[in-house]
Amino acid sequence: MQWHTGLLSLLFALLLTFYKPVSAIYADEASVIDFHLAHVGTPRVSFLHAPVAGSGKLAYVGTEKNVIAAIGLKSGDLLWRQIVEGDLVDAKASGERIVVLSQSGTNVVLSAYSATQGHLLWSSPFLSQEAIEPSVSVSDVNAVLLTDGGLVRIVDLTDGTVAASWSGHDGITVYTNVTHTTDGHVAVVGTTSNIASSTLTTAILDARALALSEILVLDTIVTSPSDVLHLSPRLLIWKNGETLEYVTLGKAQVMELQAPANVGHARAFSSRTGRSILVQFQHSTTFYTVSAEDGSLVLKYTIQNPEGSDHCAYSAAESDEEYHTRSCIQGDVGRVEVFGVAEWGVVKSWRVDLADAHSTGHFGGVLAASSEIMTAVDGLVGRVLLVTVDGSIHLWRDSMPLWTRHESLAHTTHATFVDLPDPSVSKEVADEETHEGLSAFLKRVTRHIGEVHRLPAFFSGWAARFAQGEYEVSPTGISAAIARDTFGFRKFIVTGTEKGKLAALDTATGKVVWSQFYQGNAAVGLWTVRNASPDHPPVVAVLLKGQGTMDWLELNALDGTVVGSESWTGSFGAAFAIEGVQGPEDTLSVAVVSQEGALKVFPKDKGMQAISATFTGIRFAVTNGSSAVQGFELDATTASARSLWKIDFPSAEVIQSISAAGANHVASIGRVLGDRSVMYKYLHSHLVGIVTTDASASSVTIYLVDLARGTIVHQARHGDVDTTKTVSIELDENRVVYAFWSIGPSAGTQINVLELYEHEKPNQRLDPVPLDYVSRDVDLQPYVVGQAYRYPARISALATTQTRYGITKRDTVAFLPDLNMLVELPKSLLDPRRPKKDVKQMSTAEKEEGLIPYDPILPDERRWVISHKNEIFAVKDIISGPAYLESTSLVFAFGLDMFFTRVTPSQSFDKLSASFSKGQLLLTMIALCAAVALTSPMVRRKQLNALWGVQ
Amino acid sequence: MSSSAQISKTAVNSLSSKASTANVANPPGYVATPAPSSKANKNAVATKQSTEDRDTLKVKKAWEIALAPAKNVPMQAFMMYMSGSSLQIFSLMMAFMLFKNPVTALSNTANTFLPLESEQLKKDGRLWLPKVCFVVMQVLMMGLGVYKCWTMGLLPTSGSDRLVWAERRTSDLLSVFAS
Repeated sequence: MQWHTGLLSLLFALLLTFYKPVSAIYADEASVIDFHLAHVGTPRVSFLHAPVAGSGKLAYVGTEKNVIAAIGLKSGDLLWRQIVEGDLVDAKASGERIVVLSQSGTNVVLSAYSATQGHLLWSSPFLSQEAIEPSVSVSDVNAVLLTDGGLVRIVDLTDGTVAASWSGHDGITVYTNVTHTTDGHVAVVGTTSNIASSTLTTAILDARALALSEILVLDTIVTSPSDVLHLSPRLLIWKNGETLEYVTLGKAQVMELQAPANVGHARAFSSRTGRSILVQFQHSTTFYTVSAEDGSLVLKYTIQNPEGSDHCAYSAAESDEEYHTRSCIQGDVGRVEVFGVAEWGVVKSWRVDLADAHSTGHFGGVLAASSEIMTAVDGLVGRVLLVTVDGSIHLWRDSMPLWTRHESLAHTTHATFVDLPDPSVSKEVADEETHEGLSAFLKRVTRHIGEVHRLPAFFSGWAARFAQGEYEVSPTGISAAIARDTFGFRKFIVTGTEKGKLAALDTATGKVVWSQFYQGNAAVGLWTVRNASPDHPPVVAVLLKGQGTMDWLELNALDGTVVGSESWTGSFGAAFAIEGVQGPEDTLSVAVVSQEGALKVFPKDKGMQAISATFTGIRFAVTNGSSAVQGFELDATTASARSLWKIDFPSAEVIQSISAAGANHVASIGRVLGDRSVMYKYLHSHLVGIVTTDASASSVTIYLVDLARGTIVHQARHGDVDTTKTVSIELDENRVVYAFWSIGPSAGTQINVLELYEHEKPNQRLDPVPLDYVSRDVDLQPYVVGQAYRYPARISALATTQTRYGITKRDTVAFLPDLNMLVELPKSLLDPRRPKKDVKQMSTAEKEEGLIPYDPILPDERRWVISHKNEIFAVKDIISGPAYLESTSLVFAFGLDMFFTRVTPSQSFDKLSASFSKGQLLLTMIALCAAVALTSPMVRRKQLNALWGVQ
Repeated sequence: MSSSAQISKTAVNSLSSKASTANVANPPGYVATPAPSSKANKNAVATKQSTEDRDTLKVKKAWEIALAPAKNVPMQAFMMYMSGSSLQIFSLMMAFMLFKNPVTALSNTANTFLPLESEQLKKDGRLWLPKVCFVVMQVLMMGLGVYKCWTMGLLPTSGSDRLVWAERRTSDLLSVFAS
């Protein structure tokens, strides 16, 4: 017996050395089965700038997602991007540097990046006394930074050191804007608020001798601080009642601007040099140039505004000559006009139709524009970078669209997978299913007879597919028909953003198929309410929250057309899908509850009655976002929700992450041990995992809450936690995985895994399945086993791979924010049953269960990285969906970037690998057939001779 | 025994009887030998005695046949132990043989003991016990096969085998965490 077990453990040890929990992705599949969309977010600042003098221009954007990035103008590709700490306030270009001003609270940071390469040159932090928005102006040699509403610093652009400073604090004046003037001074503009009126204060500082000294302080009376119209390197223009006044910086004389009567809607724009100024009034636009002699404004010309000119963006283009462009786009259609400064009036204009150019949807008008006008052989050529309201960036070269970046996708908050229609299931096939017996048979026979003409095509297609092994959609180009591929790898991902943009992505190409824009709304819920059938396209429903209004939209998921909608006024409390209740024609039911508790159920004609016929009760829970979870019950008779229970976590604790069990497919309700006994899983459809942090105690606490009863089923607390870093939790089946950054004995991510079982002993279950367990006054207590592991990288999002039947192993997908990677952590390593002993000491049963000895350190295994070479930024959420093949799970991560791939946690056991040599197999078969055909006459002759006794 | 067989026996007897051959000339080259009739009469008692001895021997032989599988049992058990409890082609083949051999042996029980059958033994019923013993031994071998299957986990005896039919704890109450 002794040598027997010895041999077994030796064999086991050998097996362990060959053990590969998950294999890396294959080189030929990288970038073919996956796609990565690198985003920057909606631009807050955008400009065109040549990083090297004389070279072509690039587009630079500083965005709401605090990204500074350079985009190539020809292709629209991202050349580089950096995430800035704090909120990005402004970005300016100075030669080969991009200067970025950012702020978080009282911390103001001025940093410079290489315009060509994007690496950080220097970063200078400044501590501000008050959280007043800072301002910066950049010249070729230095930057002038205004903080605290009056503290001006000259910052050397080569290393970020402060050369000189000036404080304009007099207790009542708040300076808000700063600029370099054309004669080398610095101008700061602020307001002094009095009771009756405001005073506009302009200070001119001498900045030439690397010291700041006041030259001139000018006070002018304005009605309100917002009356400052424009500050350019030469001029300051403001509104004074019904007139526009201006002053040349450095001079004390206030002058009145010749203007058409109504100055109420006036907006002014100047070029960077400030030589020309365009002022748009309500009905006309006037051009002024700055007089070289005395700096006064000279009216050049006035032209009437076109229709829809209140949705315009202005930009100036300086090359050899100055031009101004005006891009007026309402909805998706508009015009770009080029105004000459030397010449009179509009010198060039063209029509722009964003939707038509990309046939992908709606953009909501223009937000900002940057332009470049070049003189070519056949006249002027203009390139205009347009930022639209939804957040996208477009580049047009005259009337030709060059590219579009769907930057609104960086604001995605909701995403859902949509199955494409199966081309093999035709309408007739589906119709047959509804018949029975002879009529179904006759229908099938007639259908087959009708399809006979397709037989040759079928055979040739089959042969072609066999020869090529092409079972999947080609990753290049959208195929003509939107249809499911053989293995169901191709799906649409419909996304909803906080800006009201809805977009569908094709997983085969990673391209946006369609998009819709509902300005001023935020998507608060997104569901695939109906799957594709031969009669109907798949339908997604989105719940939009506006200013006091709610919109329910049902869209055809294949082309984005609205197939049903409802709007109402009210607040948004909660929305959830009611799994298990099918509405008319198999539509998923969704309940929407207002903050006051009023209930709406979609689809409308199904109503509450059908739901209450399926369930004895519907309860739901919501969190207030910080420290409490509240449970409600839906009342069918009054169509309202009433509060049922509330859990207040300790006041110091803040809810960080929540994960509910959901209605995923469970293949097996028990876990089979090595001796073939069963640990029954604690599968509790009402369970939700909540993780909170306590900053004062540096601790993290996990609660498993029974949603139906409002009781805490299990809780655990961990100390020595860095609560400023993200804590995430994932609950799936009977397994809870949560990760936090521990500063305990040694710093690192701690991943804890809990598995819940019905009973401590194998083969034991809890009481007989209680349907009415809510009314029983006992909690079903699980038996919890847990283990903790250390992982070197920080983790900020967790998900579990989902497959069609749930038979395949469920791996954990995690996002590593410091490394910008997605990893697939194998379940066999995150297994709380791993024995804490050596391989030699493990029992036969433990070995037969396939357990791996416990090791607290999870290795930094690069084969687990499923994002391979892609750098994925700021993932907020990861969703997983099943493919048609059981072995394969689709994974989609979104946040700033989007990344889609498919993983096979138990290897692709139901699919031949692409490298399988079909040719060799075929050749072997042919050779064997030939050999048999050749030798059979010989064998026959030999047998005959043997019978006759002839040698 | 069918009637046609009886007829043919009579025909053979009549052919070989002396009375009928007396008038027929012997074929050429036939050397007549003296009939052993007197000797047979003399040894009649001795023959009866040897038949009894032979029956005893036959019963002994029957017991040997019946107990032969029993001698095989330790050998089979050792082989079973050596092949282990894992599911492999050899252990599976062994388990299959442990079922196949007894079944074929049982179906051939009558044939196995046919050479040992005699009128007297049948009358005394002395072969009955060895036959039963033979059957018991084969069942024992089959039991060994069952045991082998059990060690390999092929018998649905453990909790995991009933897992498929175990019901999931369900609730008619729906509860959702709303986002």
